[in-house]
Amino acid sequence: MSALGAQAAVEEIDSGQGLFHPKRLLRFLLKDASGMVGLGLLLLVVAAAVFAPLIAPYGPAEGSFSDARLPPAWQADGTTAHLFGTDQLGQDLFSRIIYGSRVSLLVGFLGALLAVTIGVTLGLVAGFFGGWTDRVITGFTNLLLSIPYLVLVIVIATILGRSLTNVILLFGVTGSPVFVRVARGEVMRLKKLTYVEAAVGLGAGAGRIIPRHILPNIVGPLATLATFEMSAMIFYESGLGFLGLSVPPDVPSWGNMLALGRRFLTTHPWMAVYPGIAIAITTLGINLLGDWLRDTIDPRAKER
Amino acid sequence: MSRYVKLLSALLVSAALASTLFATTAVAQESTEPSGELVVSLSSDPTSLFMPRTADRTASNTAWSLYDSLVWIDEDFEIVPALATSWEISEDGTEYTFQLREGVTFHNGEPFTAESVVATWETGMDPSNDYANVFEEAESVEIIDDHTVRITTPEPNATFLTRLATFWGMVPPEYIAEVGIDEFAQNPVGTGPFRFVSRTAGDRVVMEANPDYWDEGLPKVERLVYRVIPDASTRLAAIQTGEIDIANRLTFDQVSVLEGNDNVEVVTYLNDRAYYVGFKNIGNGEGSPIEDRNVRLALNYGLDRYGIIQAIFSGQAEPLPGFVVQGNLAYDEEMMQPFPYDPERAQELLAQAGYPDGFQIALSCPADGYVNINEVCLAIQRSLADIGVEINVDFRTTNSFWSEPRYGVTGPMYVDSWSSEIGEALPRLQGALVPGNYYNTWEDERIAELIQEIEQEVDRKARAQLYQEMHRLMTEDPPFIYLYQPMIFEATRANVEGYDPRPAEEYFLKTVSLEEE
Amino acid sequence: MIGFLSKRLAESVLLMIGVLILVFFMVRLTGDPVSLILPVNAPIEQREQFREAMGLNEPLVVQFREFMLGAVTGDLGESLRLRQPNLEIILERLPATIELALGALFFAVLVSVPLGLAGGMNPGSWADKLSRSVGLAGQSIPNYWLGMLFIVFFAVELRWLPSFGRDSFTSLILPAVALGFAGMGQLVRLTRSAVLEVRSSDFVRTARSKGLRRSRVSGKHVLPNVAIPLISVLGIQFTYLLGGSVYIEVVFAWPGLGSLLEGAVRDSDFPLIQAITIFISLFAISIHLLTDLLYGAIDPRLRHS
Repeated sequence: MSALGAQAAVEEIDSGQGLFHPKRLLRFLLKDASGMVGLGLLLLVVAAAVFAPLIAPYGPAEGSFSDARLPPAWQADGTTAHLFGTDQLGQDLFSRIIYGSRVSLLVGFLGALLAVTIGVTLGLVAGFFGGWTDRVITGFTNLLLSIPYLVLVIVIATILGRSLTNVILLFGVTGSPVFVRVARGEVMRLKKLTYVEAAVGLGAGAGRIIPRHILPNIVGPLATLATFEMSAMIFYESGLGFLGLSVPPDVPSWGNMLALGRRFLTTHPWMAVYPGIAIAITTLGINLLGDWLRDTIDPRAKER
Repeated sequence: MSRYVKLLSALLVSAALASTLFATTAVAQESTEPSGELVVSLSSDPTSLFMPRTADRTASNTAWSLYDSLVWIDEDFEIVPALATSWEISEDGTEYTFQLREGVTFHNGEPFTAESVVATWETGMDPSNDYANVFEEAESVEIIDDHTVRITTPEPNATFLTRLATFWGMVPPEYIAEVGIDEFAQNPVGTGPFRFVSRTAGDRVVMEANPDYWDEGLPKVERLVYRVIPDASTRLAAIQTGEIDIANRLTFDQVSVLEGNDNVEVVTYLNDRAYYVGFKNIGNGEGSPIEDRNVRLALNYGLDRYGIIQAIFSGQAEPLPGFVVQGNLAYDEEMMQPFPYDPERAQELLAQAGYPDGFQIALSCPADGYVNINEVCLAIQRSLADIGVEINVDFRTTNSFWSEPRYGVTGPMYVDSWSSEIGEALPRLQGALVPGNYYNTWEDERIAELIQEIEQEVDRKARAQLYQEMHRLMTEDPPFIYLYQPMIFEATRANVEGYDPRPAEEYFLKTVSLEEE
Repeated sequence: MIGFLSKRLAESVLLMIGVLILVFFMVRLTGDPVSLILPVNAPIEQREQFREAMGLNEPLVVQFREFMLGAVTGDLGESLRLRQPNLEIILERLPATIELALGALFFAVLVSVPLGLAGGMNPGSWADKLSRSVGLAGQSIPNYWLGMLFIVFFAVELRWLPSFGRDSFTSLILPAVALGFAGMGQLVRLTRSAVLEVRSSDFVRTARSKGLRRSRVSGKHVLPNVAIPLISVLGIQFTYLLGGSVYIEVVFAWPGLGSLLEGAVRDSDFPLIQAITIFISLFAISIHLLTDLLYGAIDPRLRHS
C-alpha cells in the first residue's frame, strides 16, 4: 500500500481533481468532521504513547506465570486487574497495548520522517541540478519502485535482521521514492515559472531558491503523503511481525502481539483481537487525517 | 442470509447422505484390498523426496512412504528385518553381512538386489546431499552375491543399524544411474508401500498403493495425498472441516478446541526432544561466572521451569531431567528427577560461588526458531531475575544464531534444543558435548570420554548402564540448564485407524487405514 | 509513437539490469546459509564441501559475473534447499499467484468501481459515504487477519467454502476476497476522483447544459473517460497484488510465489529469495510497460508529449 498508496495520492494531487463541484462546500464540511475524528483518534494514540507509564497499570514486561492467559475483565474468569486479559507470560494486555503505541508511533513517525528527509533531499538535488545527478537519482528511485513493495520490504528485513533501528531504517529508505518524485517534480515545474527563472537570472543560488520558492510549495503535498506513509508503515510493521521479521520479540509492538496472539485466535481470541483493533484505529485515524489534509492544504487547490 | 444457510445445509446433508451410501458399498467389497484416499497435512513443502536430501522431518516422513531400508525399527526401538531377512555382525563389530529379501521389485520393475545397496550408498554420499555424512559412516559396501552384501564401518558403531534404518532408502541402480539424482528426486522410485504419482510444488504430493508390496496386506489405503499447509490455524480448520484426515504440528490450545468434536480424535505424545540453555566454556564464555559449577547448579535450582511450562504450554510439557528423556533407553523415573524449583538454595549456591548479589549475563535466543521459543527466553529472563541473575536476551535471526561454528556469535548462554530419532540420547550427547563439534560449546573431558564409550558399546544393556552414569555426571556438574520436553499435538479424523507417530515425530502410513464413517 | 515505444522499452531494460545488480548485492550482504540447510550433526568438513559444491566459496566478483551471465540466459541459479533450478520452481508457482491476483483484482473492481462511480456522481450522498468507508476499511484492516477470520467463519462454521489449497474455483473465493480487500480502498478512491474530474470537465458540462439526462451523461461521457486512468491503475494494482499476496498465500496454503517466498525466508534459501525478487520485479516492470503502451494506444496525447 505504501508505495502504491502514496503514488496514487500523488496522481490525485497532481491532477487536483474534484475541487469545483457545486456541493464542494458540503463535502468540505463532511471532511472536516471526519478529519477531526481522525485527529482525535491520532491524539488519543499519541497521548497513550506519551503518558504510557501513567495510563498503563503495569509495565509491559511485568506479570507472573500464574496469571497467564486470563480473559478480559468482562468475561467469566476475567478480573478487573487485567482489563483486556493477559498473554501467555501473564503480562497485562491493556498495558502492553498502551506501551505498544510507542513502538508503532516511533516506527511510523521516524520512518516517515526519514523517508521525507531522504526523499526530499534527493528530489531537490535531482530537480535542481538536473543532468547526470538527476538521472542517477531518478534511476535509483525508479529501481526501488519497480520492485513490488512488500517483496522489497521482506527481502531487506530478512537481510537486516530484527531491531527497532533496522525497521525504521527499512521503512525510511523504502518509503523515500515517492518523496523524491514529488520534490523533483515540483522543482521542475517551478523552475519553468518566470519568477523563479528571474530569481535565478538575478543570481540567486539553490540555497536561496529552495527555501524561498520551492519548499513552501511542496509542504502541503508532502504533509499529506507523509501522513499516508506513516499509516502504511504502522500497518506494515504488523505485517512484518506476522512473518517474524519486525522488531525483536521482547519489544511490545502491536505487530509482535498480533503475531503471537494469532496462534490463540480460536482459544484466547483477546490476545490477537485487541492489538488488531489498536492497529486498525491508529491507521484509520491517520488515514482520515490524511484525507482531510489532502483536501484542505493542497496548495494547488488554493491556486485555482 | 438465514435462508441461504438452510438451503446450503440441506444440500450438504443430502450430499453427506449420498456419500455415506456410496462409501458403504465401496468398502463392503474386499477388506484386504487397499481402499480410500488418505489426506495428510504437511507443515512445509518437502525439500526433496530423495532420502539423503530430506533436510527435515516433514520431508523424510513424506519420502519414507516410497522406500524401504534393509532393516526397520519397530515401535519398541528393536531392529527388525525389512529388505534384509537376516544379518550377522562380525566379532569386532565392524562388519555387517545382510541376506537380502528375494523377489522384491522397485516400482519401475527393476529387481531389488545387492547392486541396489551399493547404488544407495554411492548416491547417498554425493557431496550435494544434506545427509552425505550418514552414508560416509560406512567404509565399504561389497557384493557377496546377488542377495548378500557386506557393509564395513571403520569402528564399532552402536547406532549404525539405526542410521541404516533411518536414512538408507533403497534406490534402483539402473534408473538412478540413468537419470541422475536431481531428476530422481523429481520422479522418485523405491520399493516402498506407496509409489509416486505426482507432485505440485508447494501444494501436494500424490502417491498410490504399491500393488506388489512385499509386506502382505500393506498398505491399507489406495491413495495417499500430502497437502502442504504452512499455517497451523489453517491445519486446524481443515481437520475440522474434514478436508484432511491427519493434521500435525498443532498446539495444545488448538487441539483443546477439538474437544467434544466426535469427528476428530486428538493424538498426543511426548516428543523426543530436549530444550535447554547451553553454556559456553569456550570463546566468550571463558572467564564468565557460569564456569563455576555452583553457578550452573544455582541456575538449575533457581529457574522456575514448572511455572514456565504452566504459563506457556498450559502445563503440556514435561520438566526436563537431563539429556536422557522419557521414552529413551535407560530412562528411569526414580533416578531421573528434574531439578526442583528452589530459589533459596539457588541464592545460597550463588553466594558460595561469590555472587551473593547475582550477576549480569547475555542469553542468545533463536527468534522464532522453535514453537514458543521467544516467550520461553523472556520467561527465563524473568524467572532468573528473582535470584538476582540479570539476563540480557539477545534475539537473533535463526540464520545468524547458527551461522558460526560452536555458536560463535552467541552467548555465553543460549537456548536451543536437540531431538533424537533413535530412542536414545546419543545424537544429542554427540552433537552438543563432543569437543570440537559444530554445535559444541562445553568441554568436559569426563563427559567426552563417556560418550565415546557409549558410541562403541554395541550391547544395549551395557549402553543403558553408561547412559545412567552419564545422567549422574550431567546433573552433578550440569553443562546445561535443563528446560523441558515438549508434547506433540496432532489430530486425525475419527475414522483414521492405525496412525501411530513416534516420539521423534516420525510416522509411517503403510499401516493406516480408513474405516467407514 | 515509435519514439515513445523505444524510450519506454529502453527504460524498462535499464531498470531490469538495475534490479539484477541491486538484488545480487543486497542478498550477498547476509550471512552464511549453510548452517541452516545442513542437518545439525553435519561435521565441519562436510559444511565446507557443501559450500564448495554450491559455489559459495568463489570470490564475489566471480559469483557476480556468473550470476549476471546466468540471468541474461534465463538461469536464476539453484535453490539451496530444493536443489532445483529457481526459475523452474518459480514458473511452477506462478500460475497460482496470477490466478489469485486476478481473482482479487476482479473482486476489487467489482466492488469498488460501482461504489466509486456512485460516490463520484453524487458527492456527499450515502453512496459516497459508503464508498469512503469501504476505502478506509480496506486500508486499515490487515488482510491476513481478515483471511483468518474468513476461514473460521466461512469454512469451519458455515462450511460454505474450502479452508485452504487450490483445488477448484471455490478455493479461490476466500483468498481472493481477502486479498482484494486492501486493493479496494485505492480503487474506490481513484474511481471516485476520476469521476469527479471528468464531471467537472468542460465537455460534460456542455452535455449537461444541452439538457441531456443524467444517466445518459454518465453512460456516454463519464464512463469512457474514467476508464482510461483506471487502466493504468489496474496495472499497478495487479503488480502490487502479485507481491502483496504473501500473507494470504500463507494463511490459505495457496501454492503460489508468496508462500514460496515466505518459505524461502524461513529457510534462509537466499538464492531462491534472490530469484523470486528478481522475477517478480521483472514481471512487474513488464506489466507496467505493457499498461503504458496500452495507455499510449488509447490516449493519443501521451504519444506526443
